[in-house]
Parts: sequence; structure tokens; C-alpha cells
Amino acid sequence: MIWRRSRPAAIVAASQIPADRYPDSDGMGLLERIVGQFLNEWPSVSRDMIDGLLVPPATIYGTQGTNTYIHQRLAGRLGLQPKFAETLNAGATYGAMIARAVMAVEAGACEAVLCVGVGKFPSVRLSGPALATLVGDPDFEFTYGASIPAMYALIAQRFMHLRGTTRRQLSAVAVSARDWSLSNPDAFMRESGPLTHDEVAESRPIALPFRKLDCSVPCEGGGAVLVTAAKAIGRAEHAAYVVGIGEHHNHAYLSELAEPTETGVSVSARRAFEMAGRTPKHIDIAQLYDAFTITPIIQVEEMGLVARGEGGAFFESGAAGPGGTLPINTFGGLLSFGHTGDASGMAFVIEGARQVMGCAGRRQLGGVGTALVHTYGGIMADHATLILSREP
Amino acid sequence: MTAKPAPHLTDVTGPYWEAARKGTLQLQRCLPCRAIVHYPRRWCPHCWSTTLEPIDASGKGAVVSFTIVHQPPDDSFGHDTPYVLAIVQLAEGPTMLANVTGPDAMDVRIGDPVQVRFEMRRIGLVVPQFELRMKRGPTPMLGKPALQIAHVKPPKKARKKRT
Repeated sequence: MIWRRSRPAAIVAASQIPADRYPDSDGMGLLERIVGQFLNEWPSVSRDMIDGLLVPPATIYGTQGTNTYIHQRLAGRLGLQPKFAETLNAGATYGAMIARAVMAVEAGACEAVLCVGVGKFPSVRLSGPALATLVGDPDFEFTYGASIPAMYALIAQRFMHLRGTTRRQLSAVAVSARDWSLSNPDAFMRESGPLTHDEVAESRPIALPFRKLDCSVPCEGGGAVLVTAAKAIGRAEHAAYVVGIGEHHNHAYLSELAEPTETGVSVSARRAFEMAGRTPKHIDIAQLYDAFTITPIIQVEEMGLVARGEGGAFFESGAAGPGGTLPINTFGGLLSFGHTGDASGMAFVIEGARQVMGCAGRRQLGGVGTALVHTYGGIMADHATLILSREP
Repeated sequence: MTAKPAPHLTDVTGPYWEAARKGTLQLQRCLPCRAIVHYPRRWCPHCWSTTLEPIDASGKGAVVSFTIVHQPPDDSFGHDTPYVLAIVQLAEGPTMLANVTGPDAMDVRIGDPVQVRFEMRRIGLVVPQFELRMKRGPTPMLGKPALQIAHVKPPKKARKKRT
């Protein structure tokens, strides 16, 4: 996938609301809150310049059921009549959403796409069967009591068996995410203070090897970004160019895979690196979807950010944490920022973009020229990798 | 206590569950490309042929991965917790999900050989499950520990890598 880059597209504005619980807002109400915050934060973005709109269903498991016409509703409320609009949920939704916005802008279909993420996360107890049959096979998997954590646990156990990852290394991922979240005022777990390895390893068992603190924290939230090719827009000095995009859709159901650790992360990442003309050595920071502690370990190994078998030790050494050599999930990840349901992946895009744009506030890192963002969906079935850079 | 979930039968999946009811683990074999397929499908995922014939599996397999579930996705599994969920690679090649059951199920390890058994879930619904083929532990008669028993090799990827 090598594209013609006649008009390199960039994220030029990014905003999000805190990960929290918003009992007074339904999906649409939350969407309005997110867009409201975005417009407050980026007063230079005007109604006239937006001619593209991408939104997720708002929100699948919220109070309104599935609605695939959310782009119409939001466009109506904002008085927009875009040339390009869609309600999109591709799995790895936000990597894919940015990819589609970039395609539209670079193809000249439109000039500026507002990409919005919104999600409510209902009680896991009530939504368990619905969620598990959405991403698992209702007949050949759910029949056996396959919860989502259990499916990821099957990947984790196999990965640990093959690569030698330890229980303590899983804990290190949660500890690192918590450490980052402490400097993020929008993170749901920031007030819980630092975590210890033992607290993770001794929390309530969910599905071996996962304990409660190996699993992300269900909450609600979302954010918005503006993707455009016109450099004049907004505070033009704050641009995160989307220089690499990789996408890969690997399987329908996990139990189809003879080797459940080969889910296609490496394929998606390789495509993004090829398009960007960059290698793992160029990556300064990475935002890696972390619904469970095992998945960032898998991603750093499969993307070549570290050698095979060294992902666990990489996290255990503190290299991914504050002050480390390759900061990962600098906003706290889904493990400690919070899993905002259908909006979850947007948090990775926003943090990657903000760090590259130099808009990350108190937790802005120095020298972030290139960031990698990876989102996945289903049981690691859908993948989208973005490489964001200060230079086009 | 709610009932455990039951599969939804279609013209494609119905024969699989009907075979299970009669005590057979049924797979599909693609007539033109000979690939063996599970779960039941209308198209062979390797060559898109629609001529897939049912075959009886040996019922033997090996554990690719497993987890012990403490928090079930549905109240109907509450009585079973903790239970073992495993990906099993069948001797014929395909993989499938099932529970490993039996008195020694909690001792399961990756690579363990397993044998299909059939669980009658309710009248008319039988679900293929697996149990460990031999007990591990201090039984000297077995000779080798189960972990040294060879894995069933994953089949060569039938899908060609696209460049």
C-alpha cells in the first residue's frame, strides 16, 4: 500500500473529555459534549472549513441502541452539509477512521474531516453476553463460556508459553500505565495513586493469567480530531502529519487460528512503516491499544520495536514508563486512563497527535518527532497502525 | 439459574450439531482442494468451492492454549467456575474452542493431548468437549510426562501470502 502523497494530510487539532462516568448524558449527549469541548479548545476551527465528518455509532451499548445514522444527526446539529460523511465502526475503529479521513483528503474528496469518537461502557455484567457474541462466535465460542477476557487470556497464555513472558512482566505493563496516568488530569485512575506489581498479581482472578488489574477500566468518554491537508488551518505549527498507515483484517474468530499469537499486528505495522519510509528505530513514542496487559507486550515484539521474546523484559525494565527510552501509552492507556467503550481507540490517536504537535500539556515529552499509534478490534482481528510525524 | 447459551442452527451448521447429538465430531472436507475446515462453512475459505463434504474427526487433538475462567460472561456459567476454556488443534488440522472437563482438567498444560467427549446440555443439544487423554502426575505407568508428548504440528498455511 504505497500511496501517492500529493497532499500530505495532518491532524491539526485534537481534544478529548476526561474518561469518566457520565450518567446524565446518553450517547448523543456525550457526542455534543465532546464536540463542544473541541470547538472551545480550537476556536480557529470554523464551520465553513469542515466538509467531512466521520463518527462511530453513538453508541452501540449505550442507551440508544445501534444507530448508524449518527453522522446525519451530528451534521444537523452543527449545521454542516459535508461532502464526505459516514458512521463508521471498522474494528480498530480510530486507526481506520483516521486512515479514511486521510484517504479522503489526499484524494481531494474534501478538505477537512472532523473525526469524532464517543463511547459509553455499560455494566460488564449486563453487557457480557452481548459483547462476547459481538466479537466471538455465538455458536462455536460463546457456547463454551468464552468471555472477552478469556479469549485474550488464550492469546496471553500461548504468547507467554512461546516467548517466556512472566506474570511479573504483565504486572509491569499495568504499573507503567498507572505511572503515566498520574500526570494526566483526564485519566480515570489518576487519583488511585501508583500501583505495585503485587497489587496487580494479587487482584481478583478473571481468566488465567489475567487478574482484575490486568484488564482495562470500563468508563465513558471520547474525543475529536481534525484531519486536513491545508496547512493554513488552525494553529498550523501544531501539525501531526499522518505519514504512515497500515491496516490488516486477519480473522473473524480467534479459535480459527492454529497459532493464536499471530493475529496480524506485524502485517499492519509493516505496511505503515513501508508507507512512511521509516523503521522501528525512528519511533520516539508509541501509543498501543492495551485492553489487557499482554497486548502492548505482543505489539512491541510483533512490530519490531523490541526483539522477539523481549517485550516483557522491556516493560519490566521501566523503558516504557516515565523517563524510559521508548515511552508507551503516555496518557495512561485503557488500563489507567480508562476504556471508553466505543471511543477507546480515539485516546491513542489523540495522545499520539498531541505529543507530536507539542500540545500534551504537563506530560509533553521532549523530542517527539515520530509517534506510532496502533489500534486493534475484535479479538485482535482488525488492526490499524498510524505513524505520525512532525515532518510531512 | 438461566440456561446456558445454545447454538443457533442453520442449514450450514445444523449437520454439525446433529452429528454431535449422535456422538460424532464432524468436520468438513473441501472436495476440490481437500482442505479440512471447521467451523462449518458454505464456502471453502481456501478455494471458495461450495462442495464441502462432512467427515468424522478422530476426536483426538492437542491443547494449543487454555485459560481458567473465574468470571463467566453469563450467569448460566456461574456454577461451573472456575472452568477451563481451551483452543484445541484437532489431529485433522483445524482448531476449535471447547472446555476441557474431567477430574484433572485444572492440571491442563499447553501441548497436552486431549480426546473429545460429548456433553448433553439439554434434551436435543449435545456439545463436543474435551478431556485430557492421560493423567499427569505421580503415575509411573505412563512413562513420559505429558508435556513431552509431541504437539500436533500446525498445518501449513493454506492461504497464500499476498504480496
